[in-house]
Formats: sequence, structure tokens, C-alpha cells
Amino acid sequence: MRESETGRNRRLLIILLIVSFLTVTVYSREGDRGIIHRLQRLSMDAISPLQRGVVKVVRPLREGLERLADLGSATRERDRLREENDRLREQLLEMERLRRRNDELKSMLDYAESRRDWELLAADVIGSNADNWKDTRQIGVGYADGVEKFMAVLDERGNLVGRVTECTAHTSLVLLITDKQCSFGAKLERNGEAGLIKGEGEGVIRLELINQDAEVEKEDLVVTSGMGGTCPPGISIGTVREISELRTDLSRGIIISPLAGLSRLERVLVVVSPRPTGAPLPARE
Amino acid sequence: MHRRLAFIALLVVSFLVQTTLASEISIAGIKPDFILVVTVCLAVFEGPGRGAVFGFWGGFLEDMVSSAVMGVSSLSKVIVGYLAGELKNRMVSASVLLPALAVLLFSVLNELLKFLAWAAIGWDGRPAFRFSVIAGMALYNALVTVGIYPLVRRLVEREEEVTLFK
Repeated sequence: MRESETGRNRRLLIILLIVSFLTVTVYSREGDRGIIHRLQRLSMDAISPLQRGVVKVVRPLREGLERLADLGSATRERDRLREENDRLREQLLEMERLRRRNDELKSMLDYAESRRDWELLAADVIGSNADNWKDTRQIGVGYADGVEKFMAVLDERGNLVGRVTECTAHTSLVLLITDKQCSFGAKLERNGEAGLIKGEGEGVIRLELINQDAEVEKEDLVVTSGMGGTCPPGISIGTVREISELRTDLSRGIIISPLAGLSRLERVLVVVSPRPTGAPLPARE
Repeated sequence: MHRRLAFIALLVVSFLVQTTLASEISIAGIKPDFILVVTVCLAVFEGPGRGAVFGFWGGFLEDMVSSAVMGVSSLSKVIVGYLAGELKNRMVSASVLLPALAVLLFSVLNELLKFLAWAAIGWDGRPAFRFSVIAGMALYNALVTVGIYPLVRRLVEREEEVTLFK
């Protein structure tokens, strides 16, 4: 009995391994339009309503926990007036949530007003990548809403967040500017010195200037240059945080702090127009 | 039938928690792998067959919303689920420390398998190998196991009772 169960388990393992191997092989050999790639995009679409539902539940919970953490000093008073306080806190949380939501939408509206010549599409962040190796977010708009691959994505204040790398009918995958695969043409706003920003992982971005003798100072604002055609020029990316000495390859290590709050993204703006006119610049040398 | 539904529900919940809640509780950019933790916890009770099947589907769902190569997470989690299932009846202690230790080791194995697979197919988008991230995640997974293992145990035992009294 035990032997037959062991045999059955081993057969099952072999079958599952073969299926996995086949999937990996076909996926890595087929192009973007291949059947497994299409299946992957289709599934993202199918799963997104579930994710949206969970996010709706999780967000107020998180906000509630954050709020509670701030209320440490009022513990005694809270105990005394627990019932009344609980009710008021609930109302306060709801108001706070609505106020933040209102602020976000107002920021988005202000930014959209300042960019009247652009077409911007607001989207909810509905998920993130499952592993620790990629900095991506899933958003609730897709090609049915006018989104295309390589479109730039901004936060509610118009700071660069990343670019669309995958697109399904109703969802898209956004590669964040901190991901190692992400790069954008950039320049220093103060003197126009051009270069390239590259994600370094762990929330860090590096700026590589074309002119190694260029004048650069801490707190200098870095904006997109429009080079490569995937992103319009003039979008703020971040400020210079660190400038290291010349390295062995004569380049300088310039570290940028992103202006967008990438760890707390809830809503974003996709730059639908101007549309990307080229492919992204390679992030790796 | 009841058991199969519970299995599917556990799978879907793990996946949703992984893709929505995990990033909210990340520490220093590292988030726990709930799917792996549940795979190992379930496999310890259910054996290698169910462990491998759960790992396969968990990895499959994970790959669905990832920009990585489809099939790699399934592959690594099938192996992890099967090996963890081999621990069935071998964990004599009711303590949560042994499963947490198992999760710690299987987390490292899972990530190493993924990197091996990415390297084997020469995937251009593969991230730089950093053992510190793997170690951090393994520790976080072990910590999360302390909360998840009793829940999975309760679920499995409840399902066994239902099957027994049917």
C-alpha cells in the first residue's frame, strides 16, 4: 500500500516537472505573441478583479493600523472613553481616508491641468510582483483603455514612477524606475547635462552623465530628457542624494532619491499621449 | 470534494495575500513568500504528492502575474512541495520551530532553484544574485510560519474530521 503511494507520488512529481520544464522551454523560445505569453496576459486580466477586491479590503486595514500606531500617547484616554472613541475613530479613519483620496485626486487633476497638451489616464494599483527580484506593480488599466507598452507612468504629483512593460485588455504591468532592468534618458534640470538613469534595486537609482566633468551638486533636480522617445521630456524623477568619487572606469556614481513614493503607490497616471516613439534604452551595459 | 475545495481556497487565498498584502508588510524591501510557506506547511501534513501539486499551482499562479519566465516558480515549488512532503510523519514534535526551520531551508532551496533555471535558459532579465536577499526572505518566511503553520494544521485536522464523520 505504502509502496504504491510512493510510486504514485513519484509519477506525479515527474509529470509536474515535465509540464514545468515544457512551459519554461516554450516560454523562453516563443515571442511576445506566443501562446504562453498570451495565456499569461489573459490570466492577469482574469485574476485582476479578485486582486482589486482584496486591495479594497487591505488598504483601509493598513490605514487603520497606521492610525492606531500614532495614537500611542492617547491610550489612557482611549480606555476611559473607549466606546465613544471607537465610534469617533471609525469616523475619523473614514474621513482621513476620504481626505487623502481627495488630495490625491486633486493633485492628479492639478497635474493634468498643467499638462493640458498631454493625455493622462488615472489608474489604481491593484497588485505587485510576487517575488523579491523585480520592482513591478500591476495597474487596473490595459490596452482597452488606450494603454500601450513602454508608456511612462507617473505618481499623482507627476513624478516618474516607471514604464508599462506588459499590457492586457484591462491590466498592465509597470516596471518601476528602481528595477535593475529599467532605464530612462535623463538630465540635470539646472544645467541641462544629459545622461541616463538606471535602477539599482532596493529603491536606489543611479545617474550616469555623458559629460563626466559636468557640474553636479547634491539636491540637483533630475528630469527626463526625452531621449529614446519612450517618455516625454521634463518629468521630474528625483534629486541627487550622493555623489561619489571617480571610479576606475572614470564614471561618477551619482545616486538619485526618487520623488515618487514608490513603496506607497495607490493611484498612478499613465501618459497615454504623447505616445512612445521608440523602445527603452538598455539598462545593462 | 470538500477537501479539494479547501485545497483550492487555500491556494487562492495564499496567492491573493502574496500579490496584495505581502508588499505592504515588506521589511527593508524584502517580503515573505506566503505561497512557499503554505506549500511547505501543507506538504508536511499531506505528503509529497499533494505538496508537489500545491507547489505547482502556487508557482503557476505566481508566474501568471510576474514578468519573469513562466514555469520557473512552478518548477521550483514542485520540488520544494515534494521534498517538504517527505517530512510527513517524520516531524514528531508538535512545536512550530521544526516547520519554521524547514521553511527557512526550503526558502533558500526555492530561490537557488529559480536562479539555476534562469541561468540554464540564459534569461536576459534575470536579477543579480544576492544571497543577503535570499537569507532575509528565508528568515522572514520562517517568522511568518509561526503564524501560518497552526492555521494550516487546524484546517487539515478539520478536514480530516469532516472526512471521518461523513
